[in-house]
Amino acid sequence: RIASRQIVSRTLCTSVRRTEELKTPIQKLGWEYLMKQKSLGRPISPHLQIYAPQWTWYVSGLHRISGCVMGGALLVGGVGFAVLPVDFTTFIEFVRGLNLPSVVTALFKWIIAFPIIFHTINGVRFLGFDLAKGTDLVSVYKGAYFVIGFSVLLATLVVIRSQCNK
Amino acid sequence: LSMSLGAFTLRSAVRVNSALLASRVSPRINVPLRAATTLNDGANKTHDHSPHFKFERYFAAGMMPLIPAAYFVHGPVMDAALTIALTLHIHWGIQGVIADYARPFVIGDAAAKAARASAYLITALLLAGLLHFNTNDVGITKAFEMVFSL
Repeated sequence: RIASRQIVSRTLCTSVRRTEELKTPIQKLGWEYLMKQKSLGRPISPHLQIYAPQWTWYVSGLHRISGCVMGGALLVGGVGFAVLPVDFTTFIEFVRGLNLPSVVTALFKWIIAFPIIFHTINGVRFLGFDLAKGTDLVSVYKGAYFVIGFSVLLATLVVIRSQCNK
Repeated sequence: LSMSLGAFTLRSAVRVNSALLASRVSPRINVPLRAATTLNDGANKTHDHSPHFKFERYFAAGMMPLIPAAYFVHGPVMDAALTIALTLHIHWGIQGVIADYARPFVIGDAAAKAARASAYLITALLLAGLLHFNTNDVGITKAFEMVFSL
């Protein structure tokens, strides 16, 4: 029958393409819209340079950037100390030999501690958003202020504690 | 309009109209429209991301006590736990970043596919680097101890 032949050929057609490349109807609609705009020669609307700075997307951006930077640092550090002839102890002794003023070492420690603490605490906040908790504007802003303030405070405490233990 | 199409279509037109009226009177806004947005009709099957998304978030929630614990508890066991947790979390994070920015519309189909594959390469390098660091070097927690003793 024609119907079963169509089903067979359709199955063959779609089984050749991997399922992740198949588009749902709304994805197809969106893609065709983009193609239409491109063919009409329309420019992409500006976004980052014109969007007013806001705690909402600044904190979200900082969350992503801190995550990427920390991941990159672990990647570079892990692969670097595996590939290079230097080992970590030698590197630390080299930095110790530079006799940097304690303000400088404190700053570097803060720069290392803050992303970890901020990403963890804001991670809790974002998990709350995923559960649709605290998504009204007042809570979002209160949460943003709290996360930034608490992260700064904790990072400072961690650095102070390490400087006292020296 | 419906009169000109014959009695059969008139019945279906009435059905459509009453359905429209019912939806206007009592809209089912709390029921997610799953049927229309996915493409699982037997011959076609699109990937449902929601279980993966849920697992990512549960895993991140599980990591919540691990990070403060790593501040107080050090040693090779904590190094191993951190390596596993961080590698998995960073893998999903990088996949998300690449999927968001290295899009087919922006860089073309081939480059987008290559970028999605490169996420696995980055994770593999990260895992290899961390495992090497933990076995042949001081380990993550000891490294932090040493940095914060400077």
